[in-house]
Amino acid sequence: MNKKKINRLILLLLLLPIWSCQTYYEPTLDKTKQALVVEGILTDIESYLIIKVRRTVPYDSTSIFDGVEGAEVILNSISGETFRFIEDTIFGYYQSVEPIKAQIGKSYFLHIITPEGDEYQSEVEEMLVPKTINDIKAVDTSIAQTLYTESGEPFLAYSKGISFSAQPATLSTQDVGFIYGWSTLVNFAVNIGTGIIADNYYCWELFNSKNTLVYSYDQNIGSTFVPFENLHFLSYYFLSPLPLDTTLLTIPLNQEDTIKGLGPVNHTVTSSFYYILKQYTITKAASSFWSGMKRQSEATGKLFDPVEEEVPTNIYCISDPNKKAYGYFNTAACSQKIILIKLKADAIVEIQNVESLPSLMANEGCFRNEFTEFWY
Amino acid sequence: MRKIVLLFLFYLFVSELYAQDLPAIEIDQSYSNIAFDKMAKLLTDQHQIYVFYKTEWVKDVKTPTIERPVLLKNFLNQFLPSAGLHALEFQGNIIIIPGATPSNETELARSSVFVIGNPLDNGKYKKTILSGKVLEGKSKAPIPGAQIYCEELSKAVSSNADGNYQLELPQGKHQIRFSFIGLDDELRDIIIYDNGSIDVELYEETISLNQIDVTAERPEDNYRSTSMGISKLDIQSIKKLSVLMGEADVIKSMIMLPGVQSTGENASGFNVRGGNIDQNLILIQEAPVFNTSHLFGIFSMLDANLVKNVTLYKSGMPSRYGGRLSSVMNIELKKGQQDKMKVNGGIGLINSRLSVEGPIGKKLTFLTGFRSTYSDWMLKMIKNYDLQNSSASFYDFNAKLDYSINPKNRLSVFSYGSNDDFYYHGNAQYGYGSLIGSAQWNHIFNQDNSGNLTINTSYYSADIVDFSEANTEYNLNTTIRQNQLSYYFSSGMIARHKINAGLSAMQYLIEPGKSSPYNEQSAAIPLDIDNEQALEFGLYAEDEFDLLPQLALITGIRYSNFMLTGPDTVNLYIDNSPLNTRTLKGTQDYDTGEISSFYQGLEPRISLRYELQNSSSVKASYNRTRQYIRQISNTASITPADYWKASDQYIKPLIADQIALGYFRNFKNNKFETSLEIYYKRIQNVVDYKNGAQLILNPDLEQVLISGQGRAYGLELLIKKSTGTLTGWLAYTYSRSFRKIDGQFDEGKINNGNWYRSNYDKPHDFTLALNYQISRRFSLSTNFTYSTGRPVTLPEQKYPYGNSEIIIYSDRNKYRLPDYHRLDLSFTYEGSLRKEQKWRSSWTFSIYNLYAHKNTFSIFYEKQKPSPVNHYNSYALFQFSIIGVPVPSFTYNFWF
Repeated sequence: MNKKKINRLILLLLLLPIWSCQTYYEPTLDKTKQALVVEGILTDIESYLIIKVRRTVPYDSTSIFDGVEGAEVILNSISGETFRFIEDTIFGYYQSVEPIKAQIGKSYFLHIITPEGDEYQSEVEEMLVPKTINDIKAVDTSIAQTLYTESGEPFLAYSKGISFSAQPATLSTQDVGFIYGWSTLVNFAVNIGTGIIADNYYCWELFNSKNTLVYSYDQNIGSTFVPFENLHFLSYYFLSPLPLDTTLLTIPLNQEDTIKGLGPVNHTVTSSFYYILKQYTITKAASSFWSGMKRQSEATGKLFDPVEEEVPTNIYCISDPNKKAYGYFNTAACSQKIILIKLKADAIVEIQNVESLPSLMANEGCFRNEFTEFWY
Repeated sequence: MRKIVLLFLFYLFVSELYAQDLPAIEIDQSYSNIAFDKMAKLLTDQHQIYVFYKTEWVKDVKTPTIERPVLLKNFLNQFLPSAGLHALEFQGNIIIIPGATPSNETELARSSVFVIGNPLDNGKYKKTILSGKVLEGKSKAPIPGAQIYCEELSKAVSSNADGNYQLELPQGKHQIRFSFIGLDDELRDIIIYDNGSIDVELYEETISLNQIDVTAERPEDNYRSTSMGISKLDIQSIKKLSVLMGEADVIKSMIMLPGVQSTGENASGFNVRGGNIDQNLILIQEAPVFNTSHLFGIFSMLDANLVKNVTLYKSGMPSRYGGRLSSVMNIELKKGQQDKMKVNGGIGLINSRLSVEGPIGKKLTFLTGFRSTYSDWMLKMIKNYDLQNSSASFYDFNAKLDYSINPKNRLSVFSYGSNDDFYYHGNAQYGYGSLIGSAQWNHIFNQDNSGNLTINTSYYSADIVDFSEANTEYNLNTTIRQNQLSYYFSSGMIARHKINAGLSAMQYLIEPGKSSPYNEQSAAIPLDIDNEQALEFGLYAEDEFDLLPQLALITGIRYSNFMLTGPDTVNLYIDNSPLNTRTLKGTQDYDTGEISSFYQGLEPRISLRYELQNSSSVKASYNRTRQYIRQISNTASITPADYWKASDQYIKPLIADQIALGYFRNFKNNKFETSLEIYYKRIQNVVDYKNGAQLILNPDLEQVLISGQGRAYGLELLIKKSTGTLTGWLAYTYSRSFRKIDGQFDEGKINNGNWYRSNYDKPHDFTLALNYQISRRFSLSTNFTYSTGRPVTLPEQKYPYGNSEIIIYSDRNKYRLPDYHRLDLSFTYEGSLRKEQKWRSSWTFSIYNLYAHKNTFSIFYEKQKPSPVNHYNSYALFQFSIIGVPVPSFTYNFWF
């Protein structure tokens, strides 16, 4: 064995200790304990309320949906109002017969009777006074992504973007929590074509957050700000050269033109963001549920194997206390804040508070060589 | 002239006499033709050599003429034989013995005998007392607990804390064995005529042919000692075991003994008889240790080469120990060499160590060591950016000074420091370390009584930087400091009794958590959980009583109290309601020094041994232990984020009662030692966590912790062979550990208030450790370990909520990890064994996890993209194995 081989062998031996590994684990689990799951958020915005009534499925099931058909769903207020629901076209969805706007200061609870005759009820939830959003913070950040060379060597690629966070109201008694949803309207320019036939398209697209974000005064470690999903997936790195799959845009441009088929995109430039943040004030108990859900979704075991997170519920089977139920019914009082972020050279140059989001003819679209009314 | 009659201690080790010269001095003509008395006086005056003899033996003896300078030895041999005498050298002095000079050195060496007292007194006394001191040969330090055993009388005693012993013997010839862990036995053939003493020095083995000496105990201790539930290992035994990275490891070695279980592969901490990891009191030179490992458990806190021995009490805990429920691990360090400097080192793959010891003057010795790692280079070679840019390192150092003020007073000062840094790129940084200091003053009042004053301090600090989320990066710091003053007194004045008594005072200063923004950009706001300060006092007395020749008893009682003092703010809740934010009705403040919580109680302890025929005995014990502080953790193994919490108004002290019964027997002239022990333990005020409990930086811990009770029981079997070329042990433990959390309210129940398995309920645990001494230079060691997987809570159901999937877990600890098993192998090659060889060395090659079993450390789930591999499931369960391959390692050890 020559010296080189010996060196390789020694290197291999030295590296072995740190070859920890993870492999799929498929234990035999008890799958018999299916339970009812109820989901519903009652807000102070007048709208049809959807209550989802489903059942749990075994952990290793490929589907997570097991809707309950034929249930009777009733929303009651403590003051005696009753709201009835009818089945939707989706399994397990029940929609209120009429739009509902919850009254601030009133308390509500759900009552559900399953086709098997089991009766379930939620705890009483009070519609709280909506709290304000103190501030929205938007800062330029970079994200690092590990990429690999052809030879497999790792390297870091940095890309610029914006990180958002929000500061809820500063309260003397912190007996509430918050859940958040956001939307953003992106203005971006796309240059297509060559030479004198090159065109600039001024485009917009509205994105909605897919996840519900949660803030609890006693769960978020010492932070007055809620860190939100970084909008890097909308930002410069991903917007250039192809932020959006413009070949799929089918919105008519100037009546007849579409970007589709017009040729390669030379470059895109993000001009501005409208960022709308909706804050829902919820009870502290509901905050525990949402925080638990957040933590559970983030928890993994590995080296420091944390205590299992069992997400709390406020749904109970009143006809048979031995039957478990999951999910949550909560009230949520809405408030919102909108900011406009103007960009230049991949950096924030100005942030303005605005009253409302511009009215859009569609959630996405482009004007050729013409600015939209809300272009900045 | 020395008119001293030899009434005690004739050292007749003739081989030494002639192998080693009498003082190599020359005498001149002034020694010619003078009376023996005068010659003796001259030797004393001129050369500080004392001559011991009986006047009547030498009254007519005169020295011969000396024409030119001559060696003293030759001079004495010239005229003493004609007077029917001969001379022996003993510790630089001369002893005159009646009789002819031995003619054959070798023969005499074999038949060496100590004559104690005056042979003329033969038949005068019915009983005699042999007393003396057992000393460590190199350091001359007294050895407490050494065994002095007269085989033909089946009579044994132990040396006390000062190394003193007393053994009652009839007049006549006896063979006495002096023994202690890790040191060579000394056999003394004595003829005793009157009370007298022998001081014996025991030396560390230079060449170990009959290893493994698997326990620190002598074989007879197995059935003779009154205590039970004790596991001991000496450094020689520890070194022979195969461990990861070839580093001898104090704690991992103990885990291989019955009743002690690992928390996970290479995880820090251990469980003893169904107890939590924080229920083990780990002492180093009497000072408590709060962190026992480096790199999250890969290495133990201390270089094993500095350790003299390790004793683990699982039951039968001496009354002087308190403050922990399940066990006491006492780590005793070596004393620095007294005769010369010695350097000891080792070079491994990712860490090295070096220790130096030796004398400073005649009365002072030192022992110092340093250990560090250089593991970063390995991380750099992994093709993972985050790991390449991560780092992991540790170091520790220690220093020990032993000062013999005079024969009755000794002072020992010890310090230890350690630091660990682990940086995981872009995610978190962990830094934690310990500082320990202790000073011990030992005073011997007289042969029977001695006292020991100890003052020590132990500090542990952990810092975590979490920068996983932009703009909210924060530092988290937790600390604990324990200051302690204790005194114990040991007396052997009353025949057949050994009485120990003492007191201790402890101060706890705990910072449960303090967070601050990591940088200026961070929006994290500072949080500081109220510090805790508490005092604990202990008072105890214990009597070891040989009631009958077969029956021995240790009875002890310990009283302890605990005070949590202000400044403190205590939450007040509505009566008869669960503890939560909705029932919180206010707070009560306590000023500095004001007692906010007070607990006290007695801890009776008793051990009994009845010796049977055929080298066997039956033992029983009962212990009550109390614990006033506990570690708060939301993980199965110890992490730097864990912190300590004092008992308060809502979190009450832990109390355990344990009964144990055992049968102990040695076979084939102590070649095999066996023991079978059963135990039952009941624990009050155990706490478990509510589902999803937020433990870090939670000022209202009582709202997320729930109290209950625990029970544990088990059986431990040990078969051990300590002599011969093949040595080792087989240990089997059957143990169960359960919890019951059945609070008054629903939120105070776990698993509907039924008994459930604790995190460390592992019924079957089996270890086989073997060492085969192939030749003087080569030895082969192997160990095999098997244990039932630990309980775990797994997801059983799921449901969608919004855009998330929520997991529903099983009842707590309903499932188990797969069983654990592992085979290790190590091969040691010793360098030159010649005594004159100055530089000594050994190579150890070991393979950890020989057959590459992927033992599961934990099970977790991750969100996955549905695919055929995960059966189109959006979540998948994974088992995580820290080590799934054979891990070879080389270690080069040297000493000179």
